[in-house]
Amino acid sequence: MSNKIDSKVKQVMSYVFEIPIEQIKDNSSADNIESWDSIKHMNLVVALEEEFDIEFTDNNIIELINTKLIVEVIRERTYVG
Amino acid sequence: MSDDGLKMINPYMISKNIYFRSPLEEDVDGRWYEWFSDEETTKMLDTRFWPNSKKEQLEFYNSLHNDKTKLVLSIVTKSDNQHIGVISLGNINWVHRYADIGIIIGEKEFNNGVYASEAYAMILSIAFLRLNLLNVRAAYCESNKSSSALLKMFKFKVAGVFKNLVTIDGKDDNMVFVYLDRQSWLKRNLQG
Repeated sequence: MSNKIDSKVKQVMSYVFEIPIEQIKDNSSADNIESWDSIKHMNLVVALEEEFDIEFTDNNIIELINTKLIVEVIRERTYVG
Repeated sequence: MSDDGLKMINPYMISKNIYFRSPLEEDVDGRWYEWFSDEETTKMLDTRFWPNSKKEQLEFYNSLHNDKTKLVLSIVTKSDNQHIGVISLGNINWVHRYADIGIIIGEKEFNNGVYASEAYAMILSIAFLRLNLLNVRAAYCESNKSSSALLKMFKFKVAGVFKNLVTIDGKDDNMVFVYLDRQSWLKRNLQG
């Protein structure tokens, strides 16, 4: 499940930031993706909500700053115990 | 203390990377007033027509004291106490309990969406949980993709569109009026 989330997150990031998926690493963030600007950051949040059919809380939103944290937040939000 | 051991100055609300504090007179001596002259930063603001000055900024700063119809907060980095922007709830109506939200991230190296998102999350929490407001309003030019994306991300709803109200770079532009109500915000943020 986690690998599937990881893969889908990277696909979404690749699409939003317009870079090859191979360039999306676990530590990818605004610090190392040149095209990660304010508009694309917000588009990323909305695209992730649509892809995973979830609605982030405001506290979730401020955690979405690199690939690893994005995957963690989505894993928590989609976890079915 | 911040995570780095730096002492935050009079923090009003603390988050992951930033904190809010009341503006200081030394903010006026910094770059605050320059943000409101910068062509790129002010392009979509209705205050963009005349340059700002330190004197005018000081007058604005002095006007904040004892004015309970607006809450203006400095956005400051936790890591080094850098004043990077300003956020506000203006035109607070204490009878009908609404206010207008506004934000400027003046220091451009922090304009990657991360800091604005964090600041928005904080001010909405203040609006709905501390001030007990019922609605937060905003308005933006339709061509302002940054504001549009930010407000969409925080689930503001469109109240109406004023066609061709403004002119930006010689082109007519629509003004979009949006709002976020307390119940919707509570439902989304206080879910289990």
